[in-house]
Amino acid sequence: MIHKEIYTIWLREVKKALVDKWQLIISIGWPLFLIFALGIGIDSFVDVSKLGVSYTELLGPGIIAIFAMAGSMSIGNNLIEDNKGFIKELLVAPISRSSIFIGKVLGEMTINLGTTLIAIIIFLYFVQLLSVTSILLSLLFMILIAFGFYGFGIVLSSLFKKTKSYQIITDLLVAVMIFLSGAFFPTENLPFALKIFVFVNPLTYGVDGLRTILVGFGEFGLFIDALVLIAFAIVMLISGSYLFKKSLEK
Amino acid sequence: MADNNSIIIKGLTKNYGKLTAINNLSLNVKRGEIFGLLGPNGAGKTTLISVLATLLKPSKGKILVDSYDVEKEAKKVRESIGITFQETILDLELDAEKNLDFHGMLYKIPKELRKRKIKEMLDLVGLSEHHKKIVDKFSGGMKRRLEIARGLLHNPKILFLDEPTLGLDPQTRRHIWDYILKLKKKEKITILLTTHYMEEADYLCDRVAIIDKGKIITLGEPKKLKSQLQGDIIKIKLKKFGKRLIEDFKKSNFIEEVKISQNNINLLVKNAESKIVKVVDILKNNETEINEISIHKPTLEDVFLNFTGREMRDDT
Repeated sequence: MIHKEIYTIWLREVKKALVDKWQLIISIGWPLFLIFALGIGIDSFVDVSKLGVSYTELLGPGIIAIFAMAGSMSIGNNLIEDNKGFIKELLVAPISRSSIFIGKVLGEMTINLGTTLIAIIIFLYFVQLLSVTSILLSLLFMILIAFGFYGFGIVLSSLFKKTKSYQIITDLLVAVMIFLSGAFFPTENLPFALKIFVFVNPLTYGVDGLRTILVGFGEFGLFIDALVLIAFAIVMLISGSYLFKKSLEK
Repeated sequence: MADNNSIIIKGLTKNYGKLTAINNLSLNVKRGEIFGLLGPNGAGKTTLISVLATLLKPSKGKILVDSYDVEKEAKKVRESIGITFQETILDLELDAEKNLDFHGMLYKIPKELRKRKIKEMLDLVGLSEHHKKIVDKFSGGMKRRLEIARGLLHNPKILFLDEPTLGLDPQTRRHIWDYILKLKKKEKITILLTTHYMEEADYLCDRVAIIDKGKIITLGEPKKLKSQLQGDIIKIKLKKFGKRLIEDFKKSNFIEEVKISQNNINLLVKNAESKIVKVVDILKNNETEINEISIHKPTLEDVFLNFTGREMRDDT
């Protein structure tokens, strides 16, 4: 019966999201706008062809990874927030706590990854690299990214939510992760001090993995990328679900 | 269980850290009655409902809801109850029907039955015409009615209503009351509601427990609670008054009780109409300026004042 419970909660999340058409259009359009506005702009006066790709191609997977990360983090975040609202209606229903957790994760993830996937397809179409393999592989990688940062969002909000500096802490962390992930530039020639940040940043491996899959340019190799992301996801999901359950028990 | 109690609470205590929200409270709610928990904000009403609805764990005590233990058989309890919360908890972006449909799925009601029940419930709360309307466009009263419909959809044996008319205008409040009474007749379920509106408890409830600071102060039928105060209330509003006035009131043989809160003095008097002249005389003798003086039949508000020495409003 548990699959039915999960399905119900998943369905609610998806139905709610589909009502807001503008939200959907914007979440598909926004990353594409960034990729092409910034990419074409920089390509117009800097020549990066020695890398074997254009700047637009380099930037695209980076931006997509960033959106997959940010979306997932805010989902984790909202889950803790939701505690006061609708979740009560779920908690008094005769369904298991795990169904609620899993259903919500899968539901919001479906929307987040769905919109990002559409953005990927449009991006690939425009850079003329569209292929079924890269779409499927990139979906797999985005799921890894999503799970990891979903858990990370829950961990962050349960640790810091009560402090005033919560917003600043998360904003700062997200900014560091975005700019030191190689999303905007290859990290090879960075000074050592910055490279350390790049190496411990899980997003780096998401960006690198997606870039390898989508435009065939990467630094670490898919195997390493996947391994790091899987390890990150496992650690974050275990601590995240523990902290989530704890937040329900008062 | 063969007894006719819907809810049995024995020695319930709920602590939040050092704060005691409910203090060794015992209470039985009979099957099929509308039972009211009346008290000021912070009295522990919502905490009590949350414990009964398995949202909070009791710190101490044994609680049976529909003869299931709230701690050991939480899932069984959840199957037996329906609830509306103090705050509006609806999917505002979806229409009324979808809100109910989702609820029905959560409670695993088969599709055909679900359809029928949704229609029936929307009918009961008078929202049939609005079944396809987005809930965000509903008025406060409509939202509340939809929530009541949702709470009833899965045929619960017990319905909890936490402040069902909070924040609604008097007319809408009346409507909700009528729906609740209609429901009692039609569905034959037990209803436990919390309120800090005296008239609400008075109008709706078969029995009322007045609670304050996590304890039951008194319990009984509203009529009986009021008749415990033998006589009428003379309410006097004064600019100021001295100790001597109170002494005089207490000395007089026709005044049963004197209660003071801020600038108000409440006198419990039998046959107040014939005694009011005497009261005015005493006030004149004390050279006090009267702002207002009135006689009224005791309300639950007076019962509360009588038991706690405070007005309910003091706490809000």
